[in-house]
Amino acid sequence: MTEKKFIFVIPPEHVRHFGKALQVLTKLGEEIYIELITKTNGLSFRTANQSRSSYSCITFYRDFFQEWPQDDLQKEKIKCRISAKRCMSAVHAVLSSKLTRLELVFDDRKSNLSFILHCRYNIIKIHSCFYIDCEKLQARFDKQSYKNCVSIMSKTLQDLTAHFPAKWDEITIRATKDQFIIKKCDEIVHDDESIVYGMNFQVVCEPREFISYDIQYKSDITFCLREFKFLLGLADLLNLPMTIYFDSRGRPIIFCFDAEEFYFDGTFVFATMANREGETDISFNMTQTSVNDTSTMDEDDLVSYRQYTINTTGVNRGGKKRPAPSTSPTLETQINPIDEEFNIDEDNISIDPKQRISTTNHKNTTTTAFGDTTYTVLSQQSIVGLQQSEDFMADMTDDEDEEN
Amino acid sequence: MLEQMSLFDTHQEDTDEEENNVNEQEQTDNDDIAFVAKLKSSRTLASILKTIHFADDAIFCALPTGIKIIVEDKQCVQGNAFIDTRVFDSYELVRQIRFRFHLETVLNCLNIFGIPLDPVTHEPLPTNVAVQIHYRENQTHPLQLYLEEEGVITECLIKVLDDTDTIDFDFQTENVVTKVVFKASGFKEALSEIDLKADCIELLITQDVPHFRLIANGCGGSTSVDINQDSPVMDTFLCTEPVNNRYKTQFFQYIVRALSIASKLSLRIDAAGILCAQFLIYTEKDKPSLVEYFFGPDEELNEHEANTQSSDVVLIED
Repeated sequence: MTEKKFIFVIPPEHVRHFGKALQVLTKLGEEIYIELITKTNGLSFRTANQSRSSYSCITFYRDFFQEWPQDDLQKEKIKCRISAKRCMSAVHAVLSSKLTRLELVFDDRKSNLSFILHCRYNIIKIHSCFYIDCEKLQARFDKQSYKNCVSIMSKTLQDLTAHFPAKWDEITIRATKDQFIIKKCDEIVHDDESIVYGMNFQVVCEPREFISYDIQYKSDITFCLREFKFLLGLADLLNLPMTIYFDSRGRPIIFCFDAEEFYFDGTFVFATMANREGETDISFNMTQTSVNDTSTMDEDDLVSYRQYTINTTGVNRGGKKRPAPSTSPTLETQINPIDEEFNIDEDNISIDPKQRISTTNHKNTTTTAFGDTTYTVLSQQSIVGLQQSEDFMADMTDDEDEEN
Repeated sequence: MLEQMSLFDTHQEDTDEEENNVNEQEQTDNDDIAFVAKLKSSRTLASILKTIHFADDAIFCALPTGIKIIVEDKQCVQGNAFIDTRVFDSYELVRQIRFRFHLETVLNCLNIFGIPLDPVTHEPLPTNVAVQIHYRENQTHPLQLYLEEEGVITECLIKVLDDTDTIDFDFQTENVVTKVVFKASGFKEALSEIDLKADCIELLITQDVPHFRLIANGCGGSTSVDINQDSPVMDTFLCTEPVNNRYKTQFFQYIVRALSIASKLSLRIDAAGILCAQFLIYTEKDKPSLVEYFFGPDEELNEHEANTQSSDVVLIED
C-alpha cells in the first residue's frame, strides 16, 4: 500500500463529458474498473455486464485533465474497481450541478476514490467510495480482422433507432453493399422450438447516410438493444463519428468513437447472437483465419456441442445438445491473470469440453486473436465466455461431463 | 366570505358566535368557547403542519401570542410550529388551551378540497380555501374546523385526546456553542445530493476551513458537503468551539422537508450537543411563522468511529 494520493483535476468545460461518459458506464455494468495506463497516458474506465456479453471502455487522455498526478507513475499505478451504484450517485451529482472544478482523488491509504465537486456559492461536495484493487478487465477482440466497417455520426444513429421501443430485447442489422437495414429480430425461438413471427418495422439506410461504408461480407447480426441505447446516450452530448465493426453472426459488434478534440475515446463491444439451429455459416468458416488464430475446429466439434444459457440471476446450465453447428466465436472478456491468480466470476462459465481452446499468452496484450469457442443462444441473451487457462479448463471438464 | 359564514351560522342548531361582533358574546353557549381563529388560506396552516408531520399525534396549544403545535417522535426529536396571532385574520382567545389531537386527521381535513399541484414544479398551489378553528373548553367537545371554498362549507369535528407531557429539551440558549444561519434555497441545493438513507449524519463545525461540513456515512462510501464561511448561502456564522456530532439521518429528512417552504434556516448547537434547527417561514402576511426542531446527538454512534469503514470490502489478493 502506498501513501500516495493520485489527484486528477477536470476543467469545467470537460465536466459534463466526463459525467455523461461515466453515466453510460454505470448503466452498462455492475462494477467499473479503473486503470491508469502509463503507456498511452490515459485513465481508463471499463465495465462489463454481468453476463459478460458486453464490454465497454472509455479512456481519458492526459489533455482531458487540467491536472494530472506528477512523479513517476511507473512504480505506483492505479488498478482498481468501484461499485457502479456508488459511482452513479456521484455522477448524478456531477451532472446536476454547475461545477467550477471537479477533482478525482485516489487515496491509496484508505482505498478511497473521492469525487470532489466544487459547486457555486463556495460549496464543496465530496462523494467517496471504496475501491478494491484488482486486475484489469480486458476483452479480446481484433478490430482489424473484421470485414465490415462503417462510420456514422452518433446522433444520426440515435435518430434512426430512437423509435425502437426499449422493451424489445434485441435489434438486428442487415448490411449489404447497397443497403443498411436496422430492424427487429425476425424470429423468436422459444424453448419448445416453435418459431413465432412478431410485428416488425425496419429502417433502411443507404450508404450515403454514412461517413464511410465498407461492407465486404453480407451481414445479419442481432445484439442487445437496451445496451445499445445506453451507449447512444452519449450521443446527446457529443455528436461524434462512430465506427462500427461487425461481420458474421456470433462475432461481437464493436462500436468505437474517438473524441479527439475532447481527448477521450471509447470502445464498446457487444456480443451478437450466434446462428440459429440448422444454419451454418460455412463461407465464414472458410475465411476465418487470422494470423494469431491457433485453434481449429474438428468435425466432432461441429457435430455436437453444448449450449449454455446464462441469465442475469445466475448460472443456469441448460444441457441441450443440438446437432447443427455454429462456429461463431464470441466475445471473451478476461481479467488478466498475474501470478497464476485470477478472478472468476461465478456467473460465467464455460466451455465445451470437446473443443480445443486457444490459449495464447494473454498477459498484457491488448488485442489478440479470438479462440474458437462456440456458444449458441438458447434464450434471447447472447453469451460470452470467460477465457481461462488450460489447466483450469481441465479441472472444469470433469464437472461438465457429469452435468449432461 | 364572512357573510357566507354567518349564513351558515344561522342554520346551526347551537349557533356559534360571529366573534367579531362583541355584543353577541353574551349568549350562554359562548361560555364554552375557548378559542376561535380564522385564516383566509388553509394552505398556510396545512403546509406548516406538514413539515412537522412525523408522528401520529400532536399537541395543540393556543397561547396569547399565537398557536403552538408540538410533535414528538419517540422521545428523541421534537418539532414545534409557532404561528403568530398576526398571521391569522382573526384570533380570539378566551382561555389558554392545550390538547392532543391526531395530526393526520386534521391535515386531511385542511386539505379536504384537494391539493392542486403546479404541473411543472409539483409544488402545491395556493388556494382560496378559508378555515375557521373553533374550540370549546371542555375536552368532551370536539375540535371544530370549518373549511370553505367558493360557498361550499365543510364542517369537521375532530375528537381531541388527553393532553400528555412533552419533553423539555432544555436547550441552553445561553450556552450555545455554535450558530449558523443559511438561506433555505441554497442550503437545500447543497443537501440535494446527500444520501439520506445513510446510517448517520455527522456535523462538523469549526472556525477553520471547512467551516461547516455535513457528512453522510453509508456503506461503501460517504457523501459530504462543505460550506465555507464566505459562501453567499451562509448568512451568519458563529462558532466558539469546534463541534463534531452525529445525528440520526431521519432528522435531516425532516430538515429537508421544511426547507421547501422556508426562507431561512438557523442551526444552533448547545454545549450538550443538542441541535436546534429553526425555519423562518413567510406566508401571505408579513409576520413569519417559525418551525423548529430539537435533535439530541446520537451517543451510540459517536462511540463507533470504526463504523465509517465499510465492512463489505473484499480483498481478493492475499
